Amino acid sequence: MMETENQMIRTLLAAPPPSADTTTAARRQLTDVIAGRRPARRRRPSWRLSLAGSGLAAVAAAGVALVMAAGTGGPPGLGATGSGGAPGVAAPPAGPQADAAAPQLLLAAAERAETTAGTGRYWRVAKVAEGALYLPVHVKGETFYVSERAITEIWTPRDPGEQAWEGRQSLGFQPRTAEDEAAWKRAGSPRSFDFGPADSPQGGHVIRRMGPGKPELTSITGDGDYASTYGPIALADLPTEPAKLRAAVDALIKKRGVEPTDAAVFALLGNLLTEAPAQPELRAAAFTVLSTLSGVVNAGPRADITGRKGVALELKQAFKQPEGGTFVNRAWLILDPKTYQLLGGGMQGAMVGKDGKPDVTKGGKESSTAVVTAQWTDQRPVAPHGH
Amino acid sequence: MSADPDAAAAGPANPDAAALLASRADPDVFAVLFDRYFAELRHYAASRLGGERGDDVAAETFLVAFRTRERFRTDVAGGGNVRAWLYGIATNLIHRQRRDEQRRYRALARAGAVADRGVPGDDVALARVTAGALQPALARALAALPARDRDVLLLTAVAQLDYAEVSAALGVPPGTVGSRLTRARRALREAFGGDDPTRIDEGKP
Repeated sequence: MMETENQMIRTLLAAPPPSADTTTAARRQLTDVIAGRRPARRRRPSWRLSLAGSGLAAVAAAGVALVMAAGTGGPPGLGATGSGGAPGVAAPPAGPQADAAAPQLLLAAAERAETTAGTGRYWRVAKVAEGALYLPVHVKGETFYVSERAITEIWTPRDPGEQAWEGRQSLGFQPRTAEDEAAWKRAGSPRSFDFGPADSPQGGHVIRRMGPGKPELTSITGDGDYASTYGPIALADLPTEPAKLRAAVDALIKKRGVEPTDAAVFALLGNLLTEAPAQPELRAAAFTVLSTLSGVVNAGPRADITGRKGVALELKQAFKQPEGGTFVNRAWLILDPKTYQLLGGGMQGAMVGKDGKPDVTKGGKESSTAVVTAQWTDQRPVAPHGH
Repeated sequence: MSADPDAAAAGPANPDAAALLASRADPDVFAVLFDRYFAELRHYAASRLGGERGDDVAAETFLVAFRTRERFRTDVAGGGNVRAWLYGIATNLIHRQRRDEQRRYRALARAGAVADRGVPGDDVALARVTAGALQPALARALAALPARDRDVLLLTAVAQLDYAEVSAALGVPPGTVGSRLTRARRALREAFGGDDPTRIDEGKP
C-alpha cells in the first residue's frame, strides 16, 4: 500500500526527460572542473521561461516522462570512460569478443599495445587495493571477517640516483562481505577489530580500526637492489622478443629463490603490464608470453574494485593437502575487452569448502588492486590525500 | 561484480566508494560516478523542481561532490554510500530553490487530471484511477509539508532510498527518518480526507 502511495507521488512529479544535450553539457562541466578549468557557462533560461517549462512541459511530456520514471532502477552502464588506468590504452576497431578464449584476448592486447612514453621526473603509479587475511574477529559471540582498503602511490624517479617514494593511506578496515556486515551489526557495530594476541615479545593484541589512517609519504629505502631488479623501471627494460623475455623473466624469478612456474610468470608479467613504463614492443611481448601460459582461462565478466568492467583472465592452481582437502590459489588480471587495457588484478588463496567455494574459516587471504594512474609526471611526490 | 560469484567472494562490492577514493589520487576517475548516477539524480531533482531547474541542480550536484570528495566518509559499514551522499548534496541544493519547488507543486495542483498517463507496473490500475482524482490534493499536500519531512518522503518515494540510505543522505539518525516519514504520510492522508488513499479505490473498477 505504501508502494501505491509512492507510485502516486512518482506519477505526479514525473518530469520530462533531460535533453541529450543536458547530460553531455553536465558531464562536460564536470570534466572541465576535474581538469582544473573553469566550467563553461551554462546558458541559463530566463526565470519566466524556466517556470513555464517546469509547469507546461511536465504535463505535455508526461507520457514520456513516466516511462523514464519507471526505468530509473538501473543506472546507465559505466562504459569506457577512458579515465586513468594502466598504461597501454588503445581503441582498436575490432577484436575478439569479451567471451573469447584467454590466449586470443591476450594476443589481441599484444597487437594493440601502445606507448607509455612521456616526459617527467617520476613514474607515478596510483592504486586502490583491498585485501583481507582470513583472520576471524570474535565479538559478543559473533564471528566475522574484515578487509582493508588502501590507496598506494609509488613514485619511481627516472634517474636511479634519486629517491623513490611511496605514498600510502589506509582507508580502514570494514566487514568483508554482506554476511560479515550482518554479523558485525549483530555484534554492536564495533569500530575496532581485535585479531588476537600479537606474535611479538612485547605481547599485546593486534587491533585494526575502521576509520581511515593518516596519509603518509615515506622514502623507499634499503631496497635499492630490489628496485633496480624488480622495480617498474627495471621491468620496463626487459627484452622485447617473447622467447628472450620469457627467459629473462624466469631468471628474475629464480634470482628471488622461487621456481619459475607459470603462476610466477603470470604474476610478474601482470605487474609489468599494469605498473611499468614499458614500451609497446615489450608490452606486446609480455602479452604474447602470457598467451602461452597453460591454464590461463577467461573467467568471465568481472569489475575491478572501482567498478570498472572487464573480463578476468585467471590462473588457478590446486594443491592437494597431505592432511586432506585442497588449497586453491587463484590469480587474475582484469582486461577491458574494449580497449585491451589491463585495469588491475587480484589473488585469492584458500581451502576449498564442501560447496566448492573458498572456505575462509580455514585461513588464507585475498587482495585485489585497481591501477588508476600510471604515468610520467613532474609533480613533486606527496601523500595520497588531498590531490 | 554481483553477477560473478568468484568476484563476489574476492571482497565486499562497493565499487562506488572505491571509485570515489580512487578519484582522490586520480580525479579523472570521478567521471565514473557521473556516468553511473547522473540520470537518477536528475530524475530526482527534476521531480522536485521541474526539468530545467532539475538539470541545473543535477549538474551542480556532481560539481559539489567532486569538490568535497575529501569529506566523503568511509569509516562506516560498507565503506560509505556514495549514492546516498549524492542525494544528500542534491537535496541541499534543492533547498536553495525552495520557491521554484513550491511553484512546481502549485502548477501541478492546477494541472488537474492526468489519469490516463498509463503507469507501467503492478500498481497500474490503482495508481491510474487514484491519480486523476487525488493529484491536486497530493500536490497541495506536498507543498504544505515541512521541508525536512518532504525530503524524507521524496527520497523514499522518488529516489527509492531505504531508511539507512536516507539517514546517510541527510545525516540524521534512522529513527528520525522513520518519524519524519510517518509524519509526512499522515499529512498526505489527511489531505486526502483522512483516509488511506489506497483504500479509497479498492473495489472500484
